[in-house]
Amino acid sequence: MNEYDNISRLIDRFLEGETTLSEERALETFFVTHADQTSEMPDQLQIVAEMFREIRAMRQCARPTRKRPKIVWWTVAAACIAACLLTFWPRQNVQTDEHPKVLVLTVTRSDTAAITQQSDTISPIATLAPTQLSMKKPKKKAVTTHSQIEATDETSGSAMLCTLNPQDNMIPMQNDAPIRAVMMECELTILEEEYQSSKHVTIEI
Amino acid sequence: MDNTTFSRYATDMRQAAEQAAIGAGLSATDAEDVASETMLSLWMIRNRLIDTTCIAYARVTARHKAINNTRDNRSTTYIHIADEDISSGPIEPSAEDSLISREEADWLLRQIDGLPSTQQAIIRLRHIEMMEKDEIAQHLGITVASVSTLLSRARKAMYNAIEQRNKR
Repeated sequence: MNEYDNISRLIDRFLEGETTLSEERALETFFVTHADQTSEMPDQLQIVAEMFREIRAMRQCARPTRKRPKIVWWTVAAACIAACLLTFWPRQNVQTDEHPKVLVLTVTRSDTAAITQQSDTISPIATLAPTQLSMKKPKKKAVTTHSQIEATDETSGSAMLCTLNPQDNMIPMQNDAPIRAVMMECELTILEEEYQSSKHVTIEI
Repeated sequence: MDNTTFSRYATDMRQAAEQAAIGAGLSATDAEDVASETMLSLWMIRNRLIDTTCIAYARVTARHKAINNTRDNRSTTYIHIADEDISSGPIEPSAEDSLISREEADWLLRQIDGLPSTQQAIIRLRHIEMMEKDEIAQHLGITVASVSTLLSRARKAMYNAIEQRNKR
């Protein structure tokens, strides 16, 4: 009974919005561990036990939707390959020595990004094989926020920074909702001794 | 608008919302509540907001909520806000308001009306996102005390709903 008294006091503070997160976790844990005794509890505790059951149900409903962006990301990202190619190929082909390089960002299901360099001119860079870059994916929440992807060239160890700047016209991702479409401007900067360049690309995800 | 940008504008948006609610005839206390609810609503649609119009959106949303609040107090029947209320509210149109067209205001209010209740939203932030009160306050540009008030109101509403349901 004494235990219930303490819990009742905590519940009063909970209902007044005065409890801390850790106290709320303790309350929830109490109701989970005493689930089989709920019917013997005072009315107030039974109602709060039900509140926490509903909250847990909300939480479980929220979880699966958080995984969806990953699927959408990698499935639709393939579209960016074509978009990038269409965007950069024609322009770069008519350019000469000043801007001979074309960066194409490709994103594959294996979580890697490949930068390929293509040039009409003969340069040491043009002879390099496509550079494979392992790419740390941003956290799901960061997809719609200003974020930076760290990437490392697996062959040479050189660094690549990819900054994602969502544009204002993007369709939003709610906290728990899947990404439907996001327009992002992506700045790629490759830092190597021989080759230093950056490009802006727009990725539709 | 991302979380960081929203938080940067949050204080100004909250102040604009509070002023709009006071201008709509609410008391300072009620206006503060409406401003908190406005910020919570705008937080839910933050990705659809842009920097240049977010403060004007806060004013329009707060005025909408304030008018509905006043009407709800007069009658329990739900009355949808009429279009003319948006443009001919008690507040003199400001330069910021003029940034929003009638179509944009209509769109905004449709979004706001289609949202889950602010009570569900605050429960979600606290119990699903597991945000600390000061974190919520910072994001929404409101005080920690206001967060506690919102949480308390939401929990009591949930408690009462369950109590009523169990009585049947």
